[in-house]
Amino acid sequence: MKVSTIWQRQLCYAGQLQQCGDEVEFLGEKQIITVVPTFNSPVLHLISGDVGPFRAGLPTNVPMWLAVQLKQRQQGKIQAPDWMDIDRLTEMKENEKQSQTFTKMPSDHYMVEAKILLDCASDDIPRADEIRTIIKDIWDIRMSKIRTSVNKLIKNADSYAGLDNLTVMEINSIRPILPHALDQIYRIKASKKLRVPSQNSTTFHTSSRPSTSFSS
Amino acid sequence: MDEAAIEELELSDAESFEEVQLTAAQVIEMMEEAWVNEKFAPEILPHKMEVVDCLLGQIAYMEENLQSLPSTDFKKSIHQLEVDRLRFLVSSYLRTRLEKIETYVTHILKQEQQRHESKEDLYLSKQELKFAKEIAEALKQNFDGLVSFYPGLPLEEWVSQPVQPNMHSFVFLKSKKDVNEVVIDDGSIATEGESDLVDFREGAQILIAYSSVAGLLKKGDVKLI
Amino acid sequence: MPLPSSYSPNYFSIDDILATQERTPCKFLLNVPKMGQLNPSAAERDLKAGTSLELPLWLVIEMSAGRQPIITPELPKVFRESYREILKADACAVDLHKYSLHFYEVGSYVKHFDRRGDVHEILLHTFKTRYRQLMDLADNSVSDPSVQHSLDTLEKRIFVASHSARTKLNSWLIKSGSPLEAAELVVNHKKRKRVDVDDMK
Repeated sequence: MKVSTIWQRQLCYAGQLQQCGDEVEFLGEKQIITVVPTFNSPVLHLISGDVGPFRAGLPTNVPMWLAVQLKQRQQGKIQAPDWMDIDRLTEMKENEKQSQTFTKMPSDHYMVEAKILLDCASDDIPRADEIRTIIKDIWDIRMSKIRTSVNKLIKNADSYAGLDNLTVMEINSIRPILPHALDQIYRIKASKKLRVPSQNSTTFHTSSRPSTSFSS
Repeated sequence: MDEAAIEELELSDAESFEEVQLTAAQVIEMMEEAWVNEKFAPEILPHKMEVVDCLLGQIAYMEENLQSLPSTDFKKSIHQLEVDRLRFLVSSYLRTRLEKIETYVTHILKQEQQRHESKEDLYLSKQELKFAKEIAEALKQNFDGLVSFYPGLPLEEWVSQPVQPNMHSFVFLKSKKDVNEVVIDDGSIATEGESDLVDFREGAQILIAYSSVAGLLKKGDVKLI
Repeated sequence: MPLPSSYSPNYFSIDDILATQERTPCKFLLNVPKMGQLNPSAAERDLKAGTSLELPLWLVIEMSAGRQPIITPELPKVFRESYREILKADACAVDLHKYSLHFYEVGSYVKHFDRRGDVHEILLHTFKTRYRQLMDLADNSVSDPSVQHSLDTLEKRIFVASHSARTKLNSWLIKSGSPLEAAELVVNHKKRKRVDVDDMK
């Protein structure tokens, strides 16, 4: 019936790992951050675009990966993004708690930014520890909403969901479990009529209206 | 495919190359998008070698310039860091494609043959096609070798049932423009002709079966996330 | 990094091969000459019509198909009504691993023996109901680790993939900020560099 070879293992088990945090981080490191340099330098012609000129004491915008470099070499201080502020974050947290749906985050990579900047520049960011806690709170509130939504999604066996306002790292957090579970539900549904003569075997019909948006 | 076919493929490959004026930053963006798309799409996507070549050109040019800088120059390490990041991007993209080619080689070659016959653009680049054929050849030799040990095994059966990507796997996507009436593939065959439809607003983030959006993805109307 | 695809059986899938090896009850419709040895409880040369046997699933599927089926397949006991009732009542409490190592895979085949679709329904119901447990397990927030042993092969597959992704994410979140860490990616690039150049040629 079936020929098995050494290839089997490789083929069957190809792919159980997922995009890991590091790769989402990689994309997030492009976010533009303001630094205050402690040195002078003319414009740097990076492939991704020009940065600078750098004048000691004058704030300049650079990609986050560069900001981190400068900070680590003590060639600059990092300015926290506007939203990394206790009052704004407290308000965000309240809104997130009140809202049934996911609120819009100030940055599509808020968690990556928070993590990287608070890790490498906690001395430049006022009240860094409080900020860290409150961002983690927001993350946790959103995570628990995600869990509820995912459960609902699977219960209804929906074939579609809207995930507006979820950030990349949050989406990454339900990978691979959610898509994989939906794949299997799809397989069970799709194999329903296989090999069965067109006799009506339906006692169970799953509708999949595009209704249960995540945010509903 | 025979040798003549390969040559023809190479020709059509060259013809499909288009000249477009882009900034390096735009090229990087395209590369990032292609990388993430390739990572999450179950099947191999049409290759973006023009983007890869363009970016590699930028990288090579930069590296050449860097050689003239003294290694103590702080600018050098920053440029080097950027180059390393971009290299990672390109190689991860190429690697993902190679992995798909290895996994689905028979299936992919069959599809490429069909595309070739119907004069469509190929999904694999010249080098990838060569790689695919080598893998296919090695596999065939492996099986031929096995059969000589165990005569009577159904030799061609594995070719007729190649390993295929699961086109219905669920993917996360972001819509790059308003798209109307996307047919939701939910696996139920019963509802023929009355499938559910959905509209994507620009910027909407969606979880849906890949088969519903494969066309949109290749057109560039949506991107995977 | 391997492709992030989920399980979908193909020609080489060991799980699929194993699932189709599972013994499945069936009843012979015809007399089959000289096949008596298939029935260990009788010493006759021929297999009589009406004999009930358990044969591997792949054989049952073959022999029950076509214009003139030789056998009529029956549902394995875990897919029969009494077991279905248990699953309906509380699918999470069931040790699915004991029911069948390949519950969903075998189920996907044998559900075609059941014209009313009850097996199909119970497969979906069981998977959906047990998903929550699976998610808790993957997030490591379950107090009883023995739950893990009650998963069937398909569930275990999802669990393993999800658990490792979750662990990675958690360690990323906790990982504290030493300057080394930001440079981690770069270190990796350098190691890979030589290979990359080869790839691109």
